[in-house]
Parts: sequence; C-alpha cells; structure tokens
Amino acid sequence: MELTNWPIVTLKDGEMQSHRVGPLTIFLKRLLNEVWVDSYRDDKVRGKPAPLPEKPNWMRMSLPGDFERYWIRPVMPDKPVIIDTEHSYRFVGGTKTRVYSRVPVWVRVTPEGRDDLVVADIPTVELSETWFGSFTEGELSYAVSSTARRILTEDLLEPHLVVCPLEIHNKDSEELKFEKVCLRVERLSIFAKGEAMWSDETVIRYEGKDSETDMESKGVRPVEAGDATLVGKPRTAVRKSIGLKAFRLLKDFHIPGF
Amino acid sequence: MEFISSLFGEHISEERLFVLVRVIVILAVGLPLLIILRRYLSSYITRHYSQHYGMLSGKLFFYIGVTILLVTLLHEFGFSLTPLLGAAGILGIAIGFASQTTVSNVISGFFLVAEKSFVVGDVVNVGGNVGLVYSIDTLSVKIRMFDNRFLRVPNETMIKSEFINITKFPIRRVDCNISVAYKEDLQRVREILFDVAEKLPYSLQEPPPLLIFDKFGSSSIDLLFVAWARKENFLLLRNGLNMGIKERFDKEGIEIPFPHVSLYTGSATKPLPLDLISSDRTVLSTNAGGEESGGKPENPAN
Repeated sequence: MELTNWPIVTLKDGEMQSHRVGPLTIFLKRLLNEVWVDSYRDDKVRGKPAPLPEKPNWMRMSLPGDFERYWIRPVMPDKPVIIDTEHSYRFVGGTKTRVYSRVPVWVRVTPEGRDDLVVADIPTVELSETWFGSFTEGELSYAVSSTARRILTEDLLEPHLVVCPLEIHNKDSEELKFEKVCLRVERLSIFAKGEAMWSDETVIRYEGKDSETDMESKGVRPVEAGDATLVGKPRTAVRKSIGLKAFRLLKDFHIPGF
Repeated sequence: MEFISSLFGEHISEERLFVLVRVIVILAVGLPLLIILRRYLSSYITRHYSQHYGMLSGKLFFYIGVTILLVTLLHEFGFSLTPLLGAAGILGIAIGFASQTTVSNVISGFFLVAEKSFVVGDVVNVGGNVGLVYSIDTLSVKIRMFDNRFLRVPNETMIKSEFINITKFPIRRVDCNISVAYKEDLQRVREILFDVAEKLPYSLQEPPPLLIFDKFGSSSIDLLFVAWARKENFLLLRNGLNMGIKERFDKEGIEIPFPHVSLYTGSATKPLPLDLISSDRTVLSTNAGGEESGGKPENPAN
C-alpha cells in the first residue's frame, strides 16, 4: 500500500511545495543549497494542504550540498509522553492488560539518504507540557489525554496519530491505579500502513511502588499492524529493557507546593 | 658587548647564568602550559558536567600548578623547602591574626562549594538583590544583577546570611492575586482562570493549577490563582497569565473592582457639579445649576 502521507518530495530550485499531515501543513522551498521551511496548523485532519500564510515565517537552512529530493517522515515527540487516562483505571494484582493510546507524531524532513541532516522537525499538534516527578526533580514531558481503549476501531486511525499498544502487567499483589503512565516515546519506532501508524509494542511490568517499573520496547511491529512498513526510527537508541519510573507517584502532588 | 660580558664575568657566574636560563625556560613554558591546560580542563568539564564544576576545577588546577611552579623556582634558586615551611607556619599564624576576615572568606568559600546551595549560573536573591551567580571565588561570590550591575558578596556574608536560590529546583510556581466583584459567579471565574492557564503552552499540566479563596475584601473577593512552569518559562507564564486573565475578564464582563474615591469640598457642601456632555458637545444632563439643557454650552471648557 502506498504511503501517501510520507512521500519523497522533489524540490526544484526556486520551487515551493506543501504537504499536509493531519492538521499540519508543511511548506518547503529550495534556493540553491538552502531549504526554506514554514508550517501552519488548522482544524482539518485530511484534504489539500493549507495555503501559504500571507506573512510566512520562513526558517532557512543551508545544507552542505544541492539536494533535490527530500524525505518527509514521521518521528515520535522529542520528550516522554505522559498518558493521562480520562477515567480512573485499576488493575488488581496479577492482571495483564493490553490497551491502546494515540500520540501525535512530529514531521521530520531530511534530504534523501541523509538522516543526519534534519531540515525540519515539527510537531503536528502542539502538546501541553507537564512535569513527571517531584517538586525537586523530574523531567519535562508532554501531556496526552487518552481513553486507553481495549479495542481499536478504524475511526481511531488518523493520519497524524500513531497508535501505541501498551501491555501492562501488574506483577504486584496490590492493586495498581493507572492514572498516568510515562511513555518513553523517543525510544519507539513508527510503522505505517496506508494512513494508519503504529509504534512498536511497549510492555510495562509493574512490580510494586517500591520497585522500579520495567519497561520494554519490543522493537518490532505489533501484530495489529500486519505488514506495515518501518517509516520512523527511534529518536534515541533503543535499549531492550529499561528500569524506569513509569507510573506517577501519586503522593508527589497531593500537596500543591504550599 | 664588552660591558655585558664584563658584567656577567664580575657579578653572574656561569652556574648562575645557567640557573637563570632554566628559570626563564620554566616560566616561559610552564605558565602558558598551565593557562592552556586550565582552559582545556575547564571547558571539558563544563561540556561534560556543569559550568560550576568547570570553573572550580580550572581554578583548582591553576592554583596547584602555580604552587608547583613556585616551589620549582625556589628550588632552582637554591632555597630549601624545610626551613621555608617552618617559617611559613610561624608567618601563617601572624598573617592569620592580621587577616582574619580574609581567612574567614577563604574557609567560607570552601563550605559554600561543598554545601552546593547554589552553583554558577543559578539566580539568587541576596538581601533583596537578585542576579545570576557569575563566579564563586576564593574570597567572594560575584553576581551579575539583571540591570547589569555587578554585585560582590563576601563568602563569609553568604555563609552567615539568608539567601534565596530562585533556580535551584526545575519548576516554579507563579502566583496571581486576583480580585473580583461580589456580584460575580465564582464558579464561572474559576472556569475562566483554568481555561486561561490551560491555553498557555508554558503552563504545566502537572502540578495542576490551583485556585484559593483568599478573603472577603473590603470591596472585592480576593483570590489566589497559582500555576506552574519550568523555571526558564517563569516570566513568560507570569506575563501570559496576568495578561490573559485581564483579557478574558474584559471579554466575559467579569468586573475587577478597584478603589472608588468620593470627593467632597467640605462636610457641609453639596456634591460637586457634574455635566454629562456627548461627543458633539451637547449637554445631556447637568446637576450644576439644576437645569437640564439640550443646547450646546457657551464654553464647554468650563
């Protein structure tokens, strides 16, 4: 199946092209060895690219050569994503569950065959920032609200959203209250089939609040994705399994800093 | 030429000349090498660790290097270190008494570095002076204030007095004191405030914003609205929140009360005369003379 959302764009000298990915339209213009990039977001998810704004805010980039062909590829957000379930969700001890969350991708433009020359890295949706950790230490993340669906239907597959399958094992005897989970998306790959995108499967093993949560990125396409093609590599090198604080410590923000 | 050779012959022996050459070589090679290595070490540690450690390690390396150079030079000149160290001990006591403040600053400097209450690059408030820590030196902490004035605080003062490290922790809270009129629906006010915070990109979702009922004021209900931002975005959030709240309150018709002042010319006088005049200078109403008029005033300036 052709990947219409992730094409190779040919840019002739002085020519401008635009391309839509969900609500984001990206404008590319080439002038000798320079690439000019601008972007615009609207409410549409599909259709023709938006027209160039009246006062474009071009970002110029000089490249070490004249490149005519450019890859437009999806890439995961540059910070971890905190998935916040809309409804309180509890896992009793020993439960194993598979849920789906959707994360908006970023669009990366590179000259064909030169992954090291990133011309543009633009989020399709501007996500709110959030803090994962305590008042004294933690890390900046993006916030994504999710229904944590158990069943995935066709209408949920949107051109700018990547479906992240999460397999959660509560290995502890105590109940796990899943309100927020920190997903290390920068370590995930993206697979595409038609308009749909999938990340590799993440397995989260919770072993109690005193132990670190083991998070494993499988690094292969999930079964739901069928024969989807790899279109986006992880931002950072994948470690097979990492011990991380994946679930928010609920006690941290009970007293709001007074 | 003859004069120089006679000078060397009379006053400087060949052996001394050799020592002099060695000293010059040690200085000419040692000092630049020390400076170059210090710069390299400082920038390497700054790149891999932090600016604070880079600066400290550079200084430590330089002082140790200078001491070694000095000892080498003294050795070249034929000074024995043992009596020198003994003399230094006696001299040290004398100097110690004479320079208590300096010694105190030096020792305080060690404690400041060890305690790590602040590091180079932090923003601190010392006695009401806010600025960026520029360097932590042997005797003092140098601060660049935000109006680009230079503040020098002796290390001893930093140890003894209270100071606030504004950027110690990664996130900061922005407080907005808001007053609304008694007639306003507080639930609606609450929704507007949370909506304003949610729409600002630098307002963190966690820790969540919070609205606190402060008090029933003399002419308003006083509220405290707090939101969190990364320390780098503190000012952006503060400006964004205050401007956003004012804009939304104006749009939604939420009244922000302010003190009203009634003026009287004396306790027994009538209220001050007041005319309402439209844009075309037509007098709409008057209480100046008790008569209403639809015509143009003779002298509107009055």
